[in-house]
Amino acid sequence: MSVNKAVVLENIPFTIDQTRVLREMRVSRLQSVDEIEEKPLAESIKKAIDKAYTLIHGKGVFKTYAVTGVKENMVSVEGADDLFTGGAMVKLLGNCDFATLMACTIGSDLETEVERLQGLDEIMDAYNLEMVGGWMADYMADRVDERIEREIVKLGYGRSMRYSPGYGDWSLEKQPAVLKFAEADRIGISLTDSNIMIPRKSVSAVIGWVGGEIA
Amino acid sequence: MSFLTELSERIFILDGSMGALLQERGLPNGYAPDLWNLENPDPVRDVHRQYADAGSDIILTNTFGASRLRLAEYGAANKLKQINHAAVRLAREGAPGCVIAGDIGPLGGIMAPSGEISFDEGMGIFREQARALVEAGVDLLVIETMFDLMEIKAAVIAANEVRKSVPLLASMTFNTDGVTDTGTDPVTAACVLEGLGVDIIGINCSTGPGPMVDVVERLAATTTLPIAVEPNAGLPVHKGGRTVFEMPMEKVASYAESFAHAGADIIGGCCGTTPDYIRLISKSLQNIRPKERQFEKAMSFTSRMVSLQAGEGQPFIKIGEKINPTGRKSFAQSIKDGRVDMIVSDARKQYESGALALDVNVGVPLVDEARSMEKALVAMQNVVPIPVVIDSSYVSALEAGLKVYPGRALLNSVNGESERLEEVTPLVKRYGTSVIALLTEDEIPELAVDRLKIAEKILLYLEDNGVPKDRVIFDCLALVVSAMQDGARQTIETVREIKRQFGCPTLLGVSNVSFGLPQRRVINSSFLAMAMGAGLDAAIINPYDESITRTVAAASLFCGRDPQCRVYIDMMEVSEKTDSKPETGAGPKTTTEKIAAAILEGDKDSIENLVKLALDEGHDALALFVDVMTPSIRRLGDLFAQRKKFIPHLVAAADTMKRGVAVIDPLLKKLQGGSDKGTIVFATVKGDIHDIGKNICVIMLSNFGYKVIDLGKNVPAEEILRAAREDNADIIALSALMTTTMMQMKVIVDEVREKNLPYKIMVGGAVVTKTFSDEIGADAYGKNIGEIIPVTSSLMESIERQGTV
Repeated sequence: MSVNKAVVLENIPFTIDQTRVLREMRVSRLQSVDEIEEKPLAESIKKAIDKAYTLIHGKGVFKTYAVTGVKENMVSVEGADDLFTGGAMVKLLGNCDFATLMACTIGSDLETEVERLQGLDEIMDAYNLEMVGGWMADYMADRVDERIEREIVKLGYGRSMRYSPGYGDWSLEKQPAVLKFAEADRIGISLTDSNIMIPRKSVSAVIGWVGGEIA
Repeated sequence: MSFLTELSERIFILDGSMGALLQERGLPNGYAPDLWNLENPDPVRDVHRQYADAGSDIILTNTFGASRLRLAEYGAANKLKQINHAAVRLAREGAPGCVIAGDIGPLGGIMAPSGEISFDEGMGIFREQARALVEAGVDLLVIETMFDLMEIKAAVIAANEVRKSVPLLASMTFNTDGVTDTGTDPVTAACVLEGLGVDIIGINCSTGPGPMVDVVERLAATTTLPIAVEPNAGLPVHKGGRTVFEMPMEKVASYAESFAHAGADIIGGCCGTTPDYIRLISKSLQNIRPKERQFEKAMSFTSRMVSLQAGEGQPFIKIGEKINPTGRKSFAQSIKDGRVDMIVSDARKQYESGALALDVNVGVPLVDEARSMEKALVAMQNVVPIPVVIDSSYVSALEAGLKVYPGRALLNSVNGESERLEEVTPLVKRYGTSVIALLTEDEIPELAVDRLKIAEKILLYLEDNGVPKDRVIFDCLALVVSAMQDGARQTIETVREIKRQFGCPTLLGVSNVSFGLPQRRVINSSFLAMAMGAGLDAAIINPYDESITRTVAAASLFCGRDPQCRVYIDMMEVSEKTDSKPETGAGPKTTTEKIAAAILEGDKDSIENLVKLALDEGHDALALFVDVMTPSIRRLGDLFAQRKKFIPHLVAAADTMKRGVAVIDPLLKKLQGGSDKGTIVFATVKGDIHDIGKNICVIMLSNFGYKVIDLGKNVPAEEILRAAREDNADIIALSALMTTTMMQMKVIVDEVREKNLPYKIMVGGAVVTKTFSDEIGADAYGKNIGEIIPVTSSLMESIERQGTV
């Protein structure tokens, strides 16, 4: 177990699932791009997926902290008293011995290409690539999440759900601290003044280690 | 009798866990057990003694975490040698007469390319600990609890450098689904570890004994090396602040016999097992001998998660040839530029076209080929799971590739030239690879008999240097049939004779055989079918060539490579589905129908020409806009509302219509002198740096004839209000993506209300909700870009109504 030690994951292998890309685009029912009747649209989505394979560079980082106390509206971890504030955090981490902060990204190449395509007025291609990127940021989060879960399970703990700043009453104002404590700078994630992650296709979150007896 | 020889005679018993037993003797939770070798040696010695008393033949030293990185966490890296030496001494003292095994655990970090520790750095760390253990006189080295092939590869190569004649056991951890955390299955693990020259292959930790029986069986069917198994006492459970393992000793021991029958030669325990567990395991194996396992091993090569076997009855191996700059200018340029996008793209396409492995050649003059190879292999492994053939004239490039490649690679290649054999064979041995042997020397022999002489020379050299023949596949050399017809026939003969005389698999590069002749695909396919008939096992081919793919599928039926014809049938079913898509015959006929259809289908590449054609045909620009384009996009809007079409359809149609409108726009302006449907100032609010959704809305509104002033992204409130004033806007449309930035919308609404400005405000964006819109007092809200037109029209109608009143 690596408490207080950041684990960096590079070159996360990936595949791009057409069904998930379609869901990201809010297309329900269809399972594959070939099922889209409009060929030019289908081709654009396929082209976006092909291109995304060359533009995505999955990286992740996570760091685990011991939970040191639970107050009415706040859960403290080693080194940070006010990181996990709000009812949602108390509900999520109140019963946990540890909390793992994570961040991941698909890198900046995809969004640079989206900007380039928008500059060329290729809005359909830009949109499709943007949607592929949106799903793949979540995909990378799932891969890092799985890695964290394996550590949790190997030590006999249960896991909480994954929770990101900005959800529920866990304020997005905590994003700078979340990234700092996850050491997200090690995989190249930074923040704008309005707390937008750069690269945009990045995810930050916390997962709790649920203690107690889990049979 | 040596330990390894004795292993074929009886099952050896390993010990069980160490850390938990030391904790029972006072080791604080979270403290490194290895440090007690120096600080508190008596309990360590006592645990060893208890295991020896319980029947353990092999005792692991208390050094699982005694490597530089892990000791550094306790500030004890400088005591590495003493800690490892003391551990060996304590094991000898506690368990005299037992086999003392120097235990090496994982690094405590992740190795490149998946992590930050380089291969050379990782090897250095393992080498240092292995050397200390060997110096202290261990009888066996054990590398255990590894889940990453790259890490165990570094550990084994490092141990090989220092272990002299000390045998080596390398053990991986498999999950309940039978693969490691990084996706390696037992067959692949066995191929890699056997190639690297370990003496015993093991599995330990992670699951309870149940799922491990199957893993032992799969290992036993792959390797003839002895197999060790150390199960946990069930799955971990967190209780009272500690991780505990609750499977009773009787239950764990009840699996011992199953392990032996599955092929295990060494059986012990891992987390949660104690001397009492080992005593029961030992007792239950008293009258059981190790299972004999002897079989001919196929030549194999692997990636991290896929292994391929070449030989009779195995699927024919199609190796994609496309990652090669020869004759591909833009590909060569991309390598020169240090880019890997074309490599990744070709890797993916070849994989999707059915290649089972990929040849990787990145040789471009005046470019650092070692660096190019490293980058190419790292990038490819992110997107394709299949094995690679590392192809280079330079040993430095081959080795750079091997340092980032976790599987057992296939090297391309050695040949009959002594210099090449001397250069490449050490790599084959050190990194445990398989190798292609080209049947050439300084020239290509025409006759099969001469090629066979080279094959014999290569095999002898490799075997003399520790590379067995099951690691070799011969390239029998496809000669250009138009230039050397007899030579090409001799190639087929060579394929047949290599198999008959040496029992080795064969391979050919196919594409060159047809050089200089018309209809090359016909020749390539025929040649391949004939060679397969002679026993060919693999070919380097163009996987995009469907005739090759079909030939391989069909010829495999006659070569015993596709039992039940499953692969052939599946392939043809897919192919027939693709081929037989019905033509509706009810497509658009007239140009205006085609324009309407192009918008519906998002055919942005055709629309401009269609609109120009319609104008040439005499259609009126305004009529095209009002009677053709607008109804088409309205129809799509209706289909969207009925959930028959989706947002991507709207985007594609908007993009397409925009291009069509651009053609007629100058004419419309002449006719109308500008738009009078309404003016909208549109902006993504301050703080937001991304505006693709807003941009799509702008296009849709423009397509519908609204005048849209697009202010872009990250726009301050005052700028938005100024633009609204200057352009006499009817509506201010605002988009926001973040909960923090959407508060900017409130600033603007408040300003408009406070100053009683004459603008309606509509809001939308990823995080914006109807509730929020109502709370801040916006006039309208759009859930997604599909609502932009109906929401805008309804808002404009309300403005017009107000104006009328």
